[in-house]
Amino acid sequence: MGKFFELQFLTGHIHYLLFIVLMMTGLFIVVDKTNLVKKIIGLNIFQVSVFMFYVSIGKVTDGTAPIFPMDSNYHVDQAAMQTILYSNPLPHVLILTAIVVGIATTSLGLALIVRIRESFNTIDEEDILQIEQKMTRDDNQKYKYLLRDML
Amino acid sequence: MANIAHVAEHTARDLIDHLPLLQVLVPFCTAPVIVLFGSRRFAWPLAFISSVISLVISVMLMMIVREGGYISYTLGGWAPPLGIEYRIDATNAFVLMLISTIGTLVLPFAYTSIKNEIRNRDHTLLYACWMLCFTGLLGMVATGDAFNVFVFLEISSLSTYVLVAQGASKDRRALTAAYDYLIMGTIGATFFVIGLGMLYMATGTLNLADLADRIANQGANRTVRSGFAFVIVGMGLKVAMFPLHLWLPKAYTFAPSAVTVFLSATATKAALYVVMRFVFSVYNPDFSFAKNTLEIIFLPLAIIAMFSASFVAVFQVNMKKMLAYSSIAQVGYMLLGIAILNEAGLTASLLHMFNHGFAKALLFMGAGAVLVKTGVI
Amino acid sequence: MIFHHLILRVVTKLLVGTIILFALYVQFHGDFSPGGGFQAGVIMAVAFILYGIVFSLEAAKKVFPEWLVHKLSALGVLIYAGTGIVTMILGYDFLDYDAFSPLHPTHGQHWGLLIIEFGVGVTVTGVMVAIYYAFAGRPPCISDEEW
Repeated sequence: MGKFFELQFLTGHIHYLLFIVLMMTGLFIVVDKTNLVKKIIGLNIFQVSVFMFYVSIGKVTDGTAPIFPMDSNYHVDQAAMQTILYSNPLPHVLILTAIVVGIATTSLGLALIVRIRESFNTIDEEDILQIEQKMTRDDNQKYKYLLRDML
Repeated sequence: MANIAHVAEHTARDLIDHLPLLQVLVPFCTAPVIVLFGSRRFAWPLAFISSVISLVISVMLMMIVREGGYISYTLGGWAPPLGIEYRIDATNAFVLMLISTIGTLVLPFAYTSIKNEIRNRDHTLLYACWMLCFTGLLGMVATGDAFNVFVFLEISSLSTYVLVAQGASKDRRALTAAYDYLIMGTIGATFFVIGLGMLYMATGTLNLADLADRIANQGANRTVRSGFAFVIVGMGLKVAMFPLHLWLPKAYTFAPSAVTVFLSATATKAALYVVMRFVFSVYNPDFSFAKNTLEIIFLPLAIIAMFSASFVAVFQVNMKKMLAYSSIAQVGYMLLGIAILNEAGLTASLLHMFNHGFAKALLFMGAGAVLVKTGVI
Repeated sequence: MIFHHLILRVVTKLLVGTIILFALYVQFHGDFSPGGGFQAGVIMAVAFILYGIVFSLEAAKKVFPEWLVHKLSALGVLIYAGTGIVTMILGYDFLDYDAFSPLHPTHGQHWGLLIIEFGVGVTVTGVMVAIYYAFAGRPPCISDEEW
C-alpha cells in the first residue's frame, strides 16, 4: 500500500487516476441527478472517460501519429519510415467506433426525453415516478374490477 | 513478382465458405433495403424472407459443425489474430439457430400484433429496427472478436431501445421504460468496453481465441482480473442478472407485445452466451478468481433470483409483468447452471436457454393474443 | 418568419459552398491525410444545418427534403455492404479489396477504401441531418424557468 503514495507512482499512473475520477464523476451524475437531461450528460462524461482511457493506452513514449511519411510523389518514404516510432493506432480506431455509438446513444436518449416531456409534461424523475405510481394504482384497480366482473 | 505470388495463393471462395458471414449480413442488408423501399407493403415480407434465409443458413451451419470442430471466417482477408474473425463452433451454432428460429416464428405473430398496436406510419422503420436488432444478436454470437461483440451489442441495444419506446402509442410509460433501459444498457456496454480495454492492455490482442491462449500463458495479474470483473458486470446488466435486472420488468411490460416476445426469447440469451464464452473459453475456470467469482457471487445471486423473482411474479396482476418477473427467475436458473462449473451444469444451462426461449416466447405470444382480442391484459 | 441579420445571411451563403467543398476534400483526400467518411459526413451535414439555422428549417427542408435524408442514410449502408458483396461475388472474402485489382492489390485497396468511405460519408451526412431535423422540427415546449 505504501507504493501507492509515492510521487513517482502517482505521476506515472496519472492518466489512470484521471480516468477513474472522470468515470466516477459521470456515474455519480447519472445516479444522483433527477433531471433526465443531466443524466444523459453524466452518461456522456462517463463514456468520454472510457474514450480517454483507450486513447491513453495507445500512447507509446515518443511515438507520433501513425501516418506514413510521404515523399513528393505521394509514395511511402521507406527511408524515413525506418526511423519513426508510431503510437499504437488500434485503440484509437476502436474508440472511433465507440464515439459513434456514444453519439447515437445521446441523440436517442435526448429524443426519448423530448417525447417524455411531451407526454408527461415534466423531465424530472421524481415527478414522473409519482405519475407512474398513480397509473399503476389505477391499473391495479381496473384489473380488480375486471376480475370481480368475471367471477 | 510478389503480386503474382499473391494471386497464386488465392483460392476462390464459394457460397458455403461465406455462410458464417451471410448469417449476419442477410438481415443487416435487409434493414436499409426496407428503408430504401419505404413502403409499408414490402416491409414485413422482406423482413420475413430474410429471417427465413438466416434460419436456413443457421441450420446449415449447425449441420457442418455438429460433429465438432469449428469454422473460421476472416473479414477483409486479414489473418485472425489481427483481423476480425467469425468463428462458429457447436455452441455458437446452437445459439444462432435458437435466435433465428425465434426471429422467424415471431414475425407472423408480429404482423397482426404490430398492425393492432402501432400507428401505420411507423411500421416501415419499425421493421428496419427489428432487422437491425436481429443482426446485432446474431452478430454478438457469431463473432470471434471481442470488440466486435461490443459493436454488435450496441447495434442490438440501440434498436431495442427504439423498439421498446414504440409501445408509447398504447401506454406512455413505454418511454420511461426505454429511457431507463437506455441508461442501464449504456452503462453496461461501457463497462464491457472498459473490461476489453484492460484485457487489451494486458495481452495486446482482441481475438477471443488468442486472448484465451495469452491469458492461459501469462497467468492472472491484476489487470486481467479487473478486466474480468468489468466484463462480467457489463454483460450481467444485459443478461438481467439478479441485482442488475431493474430495467427488465418495465421494458418487457410496456414494449409492444411482438417486441416483448422477440426480446424475451433472444436478447438475454445472446448476452448469456457471451458470459459463457468469457467465463469458459477466454478465462479458464481453473483460475481461482474466475472460480471464486462463480461460487461466491453467481451461485447465491442465481438462487436468490430464482426464489425472489418467482415470488414477486406470483403477486403481479398484469400478465406481461408477471411473465417478465418470471424471466428474471429463469435467467437465475441458467446462471446457476454456469456457476456449478461442470459439464452437466453447462449442458443444462444451454438446454434451459433453448427451453426458456421457446416457452417464454409462447407465453408472451399468448398474452399478446389476449391483448389483440380484448384490449386489456 | 424571422429573418436573421443581413450579414449573417450573406456570410452563410458564402460559407455553405466552402464547407461542402472542404467536406469533399476531407472525404476524398482521406487516403493521404487525416480524414475520411465520418469527418467528411459531419462537415457536410454542418453545411445543411448552418443553412437551416440561419434560413429557417423549412428552407433547409426545401433543399434537402426529409425523405431524401432517410433514403441517403440507408443508401450509404448499402454502398458499404454492397462493396463487400461484390468482393464476395468476385470470389474473395467479405471486404477483401484485393478483389478489385488482383494484379495490384495496393490499387484494389485504394479503390475499395474510397468506395466504402463514400458510403460512410453518405450515411453520416444523412444521419446527422436527420437528427437535426428531428430535434428542430419539434415545437419548443420547455420554458426557461424549468432549467
